[in-house]
Amino acid sequence: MSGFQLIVRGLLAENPVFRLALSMCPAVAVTTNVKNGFLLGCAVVFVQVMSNLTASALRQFVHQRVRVVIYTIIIATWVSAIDMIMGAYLPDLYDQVSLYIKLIVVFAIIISRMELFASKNPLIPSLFDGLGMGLGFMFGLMMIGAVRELLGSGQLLGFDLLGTKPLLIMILPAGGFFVIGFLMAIFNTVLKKLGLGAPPAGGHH
Amino acid sequence: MMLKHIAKIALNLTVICFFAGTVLGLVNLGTQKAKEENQHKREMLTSMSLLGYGAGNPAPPDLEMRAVSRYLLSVDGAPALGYVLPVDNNPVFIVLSVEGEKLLEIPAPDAHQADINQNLSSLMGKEVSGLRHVEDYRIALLDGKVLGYLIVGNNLGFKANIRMMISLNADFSVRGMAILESEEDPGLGDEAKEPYFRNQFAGKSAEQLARTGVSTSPQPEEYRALLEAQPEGHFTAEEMERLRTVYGDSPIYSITGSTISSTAVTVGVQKAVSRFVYRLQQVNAALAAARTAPPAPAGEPEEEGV
Amino acid sequence: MKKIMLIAAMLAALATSALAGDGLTLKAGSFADAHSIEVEFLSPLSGLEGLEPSHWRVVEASSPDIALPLEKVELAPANPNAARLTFRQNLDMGQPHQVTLASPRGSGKIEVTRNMLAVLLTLFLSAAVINNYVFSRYLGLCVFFGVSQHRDTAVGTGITFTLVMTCSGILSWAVFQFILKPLSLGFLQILVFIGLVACLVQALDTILRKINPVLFKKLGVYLVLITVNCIILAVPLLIADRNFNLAESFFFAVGAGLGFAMALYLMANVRERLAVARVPASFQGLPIAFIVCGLFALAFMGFSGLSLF
Repeated sequence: MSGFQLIVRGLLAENPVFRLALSMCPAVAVTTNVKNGFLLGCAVVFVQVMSNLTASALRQFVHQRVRVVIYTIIIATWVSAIDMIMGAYLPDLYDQVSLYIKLIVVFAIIISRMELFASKNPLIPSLFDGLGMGLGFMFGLMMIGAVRELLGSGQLLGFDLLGTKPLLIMILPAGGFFVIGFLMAIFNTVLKKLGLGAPPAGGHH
Repeated sequence: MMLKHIAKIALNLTVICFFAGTVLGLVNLGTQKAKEENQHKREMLTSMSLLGYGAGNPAPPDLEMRAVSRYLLSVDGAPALGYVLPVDNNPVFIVLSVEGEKLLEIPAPDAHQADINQNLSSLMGKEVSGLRHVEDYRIALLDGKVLGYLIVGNNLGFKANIRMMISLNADFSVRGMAILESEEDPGLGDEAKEPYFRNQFAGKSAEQLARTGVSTSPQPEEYRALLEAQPEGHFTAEEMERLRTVYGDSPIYSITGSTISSTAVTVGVQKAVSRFVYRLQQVNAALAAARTAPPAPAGEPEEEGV
Repeated sequence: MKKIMLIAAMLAALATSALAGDGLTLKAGSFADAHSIEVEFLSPLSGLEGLEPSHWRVVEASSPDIALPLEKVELAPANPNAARLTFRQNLDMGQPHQVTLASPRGSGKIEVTRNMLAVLLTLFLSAAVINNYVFSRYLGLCVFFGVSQHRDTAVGTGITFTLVMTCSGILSWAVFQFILKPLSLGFLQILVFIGLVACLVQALDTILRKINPVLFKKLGVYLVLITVNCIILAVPLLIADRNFNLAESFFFAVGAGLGFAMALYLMANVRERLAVARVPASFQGLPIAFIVCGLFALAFMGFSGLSLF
C-alpha cells in the first residue's frame, strides 16, 4: 500500500474514533473545543509515529515473548516525553488536557498498530501508517470538537459565530456522548453509501 | 536453548530500559528549565497587565518591583510573624507578635545564616522555631513612589483551589484582578476569567470591596458593556472614575449557574485584600516605632531578600 | 461510714465549683457548617454571659494575626454543653483553626480541624457518584462499552476492577511517596504506574488461580481487560497529582471502582433491553449506546454540588 493509501485508510475506513471505537476516553473529555481536540490529536500523532518508528527500528531485535512489555515501555516513554514538552511550552492549553495526554499510554490503538504493522515493516511505511492512524484520530477529535464548540459555546476556534445563546450541555459530558453517538451514526450511513462496508466489530478497548 | 532465550530477553529489557531512561532524562532536563522560565514569564505578563501595562503600553524602564515576604514562626511557643521588608536599599527582617508588637528588627542578610532558628533564638533571647516562608506581596514603584501592590489570594472553588492575583492602587482600591489557576467547568466557573466577571472588582475601594456581596440578579447591560470595553482591564481614568462612583457600591454579579464559583472568587479577593491591608498597617506601625537596628557590619555582602 | 464519705465528696465538689465560680472548661470543637464552629464545654452551659464575641479569638493556623470576624454566639441547638460561633464569612475548613476563650467565666484554647471521616467519605462519594469516572470524567469508556452488554459480565468486571483499583491505588501511593517524590523522579510516573498495574494484574492472576480456582474461573477473564485501560491508570495519576495520604488514596480508589461498577451495571440493564428494541440500522451497536450514556451523564449531573458531610 502506498503511503497515501495508508493515510486515507486511517482517516476513513479504519478511523479509530468512529469506526474502530478505540480509545474513546479522550474523545469525549478533550473535545470541548477544536483547539483541545487538535492538541490531543497532535500528541497522539507524535506518540504513534515515534512508537511506530522505534518498533520498526527494533523489529529484528525484539524477542517474541517480551514484545508486549517492550512496546508498552516504548509507548510510555514517548507519552512521558510529549507530556513534559507540552507542559513546558504550552502551559495554558496543556492544563485543560493534562490527564488525558498521560492516558495516551493506554490507547490500544497504538500498541495494536505497532504489533500489526510496525513490527513487520520497515521504517518509512511504518511512519506513514502511524501518520495515517494519528491523523485519523486527530480528524475525529477535531470534528467532535467543532460540533461541540459550535453548539456549546457558539464559537469556533474562539470566534463567535452563532448569534443566539449556545447549548451549554454540549460542552459538558452528556453533550459529548450525544455528539459522538450521532456522529458515529452519520459516519456509518455515509460510509455504507460509499460502499466501504460495515464497521469492524467495535466496542473493545 | 533456554539460557540463550533468557539472555536475549534480559538484553532486550536492559536495552529498552536504557533507551527509555535516556530519552526521558534528556527530555526532562530540557523541559524543566523551559517550564520554569515560561511560568515566570506568564506571571510577569499577568503582573504587568494588572498594573496597566501591555503590548500597546510597555512598562517604563524605571519601574521597580520590590517584594515583602511574609513568614510564620514560633517564639516561645506562641505564633509570631516575620517580614522581610525592602526598606530603601537595605532589606530588613522584622518579627512581630500576633498583636503587632515588634520583637526584633535586623538587617535581612543577618537573619539568613546557617541555622536561622538558632540565630534568631540567640538574637531575641527566646526560643524560636519553625520559621517558614508563607507568601510574597509585591510593590510596584515608579519614580520612588508606590504605583501599586500585587497580591495573591486563593480560595476553594467549586472543583478545586482557585488562585488569583489582585492589583491594588496606592490607596488600596482595586485596580484589577486576574485568575492564575482554576479548574472550574468551562462555560460555568471558568467564566470567572472573562472580562465581564473579573473586571467587576476594578474601581472598588478597599472599604467597598469589604462590604460587597454576591448577587444572582442579572448584570445590568450598561455595566457589562463598560466592563467589556477594556477586556484587559486597562480602563482609562474616566472609565475608572465611572466604575468607582456609579458601580463601586454594586454587588458582584455572579456567573449564571455558578454561584459557588463566583462567591469563592469574591471571598478570595476580599480576604486577600483585607488581610494585606491589615498586615501592611501593622508593619508600618511597628517600623514607625523607635528603630533600633544596628548598622550592617562592614564587609558583609549585600544579599537581596531572603 | 460510706454514706458520710459520699456526702463529704459531694460537698467538696460543690465547694470547689462554687469557689471556682462557674468555671467553663473548653473540651473540643468542630465545624458545624460552612460558617460556624461548635465549641463543647465540659459542663452544661447555663447561659451566654461571658461568652460574647468579644471574648473569643478565632484564627486560622496559617494566619494567626487575623482574628476572624465573629458575628454571634448562641447556644448550640442539639448539645446543652456547647455553644455555636457563627462567622460573617465562610470558613476555610481545610485549615486547622485555633479558638481561644478569654472571659471572666473561664479561659482556654482548642484547635478545630475537619473531621477526618467526613473528608474521607466526601472523597468516596465524590469519586463514586459526583465525579463518576464514566459519566463525569469520561474514563474507562474503552472497556465500558464492550462489557456492558450483559448484566453478569458487568457485575464481574465491576468487582474485579474495584479490587485491582484499590490495590493499585495503594501501591502506587506508596511508590510515589517513598520512591518517586524523594528522588524527584516524578516524570517517570507514567512508566512506573503502568508497570505497577501490569505486575499487579499478573500477580493477582497467579494468586487467584492458585488460591481460589472457582473465583478465578468467574473473574479471571476480566483481569485481562484491566491492564490496558484508561481508568486503571487514571486513579494512580490523580492520586499522585493531588498528593493524597494513604487513607484518602484508599477511599478515592474504592469510590472510583464502585462508581465504575455501578455505572456498568446501570448501562448493562439498559443495553439488554436495547438489544431487543427496534433501533435504526445506523445507530445499532455503539451509536445508541453512546446516546444512552449521554442520558445517564445528564442524570448524574444532578449530583454535582452534593455535599453531605
